[in-house]
Amino acid sequence: MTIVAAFRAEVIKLCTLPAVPGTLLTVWVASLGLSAVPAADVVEYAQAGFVVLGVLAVTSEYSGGQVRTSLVGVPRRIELLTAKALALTATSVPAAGVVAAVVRSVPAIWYLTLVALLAAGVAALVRRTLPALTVLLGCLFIAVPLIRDHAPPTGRISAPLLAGTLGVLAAAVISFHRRDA
Amino acid sequence: MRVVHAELRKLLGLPPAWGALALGLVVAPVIAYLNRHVSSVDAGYQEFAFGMIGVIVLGVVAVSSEYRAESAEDAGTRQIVTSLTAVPSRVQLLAAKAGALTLTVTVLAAVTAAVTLTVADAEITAARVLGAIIYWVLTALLATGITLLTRSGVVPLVVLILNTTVVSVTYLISKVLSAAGYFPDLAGSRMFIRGGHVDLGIAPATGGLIMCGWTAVVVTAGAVAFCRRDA
Repeated sequence: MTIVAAFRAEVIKLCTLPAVPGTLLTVWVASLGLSAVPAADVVEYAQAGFVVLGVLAVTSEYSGGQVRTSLVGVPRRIELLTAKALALTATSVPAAGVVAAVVRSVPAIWYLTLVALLAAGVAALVRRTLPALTVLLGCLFIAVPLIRDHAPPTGRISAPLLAGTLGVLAAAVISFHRRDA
Repeated sequence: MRVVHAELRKLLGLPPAWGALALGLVVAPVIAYLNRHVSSVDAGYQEFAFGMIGVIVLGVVAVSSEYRAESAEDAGTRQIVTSLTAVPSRVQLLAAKAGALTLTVTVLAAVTAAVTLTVADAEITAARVLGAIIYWVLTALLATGITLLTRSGVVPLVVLILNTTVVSVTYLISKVLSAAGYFPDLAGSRMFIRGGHVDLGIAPATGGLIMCGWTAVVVTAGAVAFCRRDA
């Protein structure tokens, strides 16, 4: 199977998870609603939806042993992960585009997609939905705001976020390559 | 009593529950330590309110673990079937679950409150500490109630953790709609928060009652769903 076919398969797998359209619809409606509130940081809350998206993209493979079927279809593990990451990006960019249109800020697209990829990386390491969600939401909604209060201000897409995402993704690739599925 | 004991052992036998206890114990004191130079009437108490993540996780896993033991190999293992075989009365099972959760969270909250308030060097009044503990217990029960309705932990985790941030969603809504002060988290926090940004003039006891009311409604809805649906 070529990477293109693997990518198509991953897009179909991701978009046919019932939770995915549900999550995206909720994010869009909530973003529209929150944008009516003065001084509300819509992207800050919308990122929760992209965390869920990224986590589900990975943990759905593990809740019923689907990962073994996937690996029969695409035996090269790095190829499978790459296809998954590309499919997640391809889903996340248009989804984030809607949020970006609501807040009228293009960088929001890159930020939210980065969050989805980070979430997928953490989920690939943890392999379980609830622990992955707890870690991610705890970091993004409790630790990060706290650090922001005590550190010099930066943009939303900061060097630590980029480095963290890349690090997590690299760790996810290595662990997926080496661990039993 | 035996059922409560069984539920307590089930809850404390879950690895995620131990993670949640650790989170609950650590988050609030750490925030209090970082904010120790910020002086306010709510020093210590405000940080205690931010440290709820562990309690939320406890409330969620108490129920969601019955429906899906999250491990790669035992997909489809539904402990709820075994639990209901042992305790066929659903109301009794739920009551025992709520009892075990309340017991666990009360102990956790008492210890965490003591540590957090000491770190923050806060003024300790019995009424406020009690209010803070009740707030954590009710939040855990609220999480349990929502999880009973959804059966999966994703929705309650996202909704409740999102709302423990410094600028919570309910707080934002309350700026547009003052009635939002009657949301369970905002009303309940009046039990121990004296200053704060949302003040509808709700008295501590009233706030506690409002939050109790919300919790009762959500838990009852969850219980009705649990009793009527197939397990």
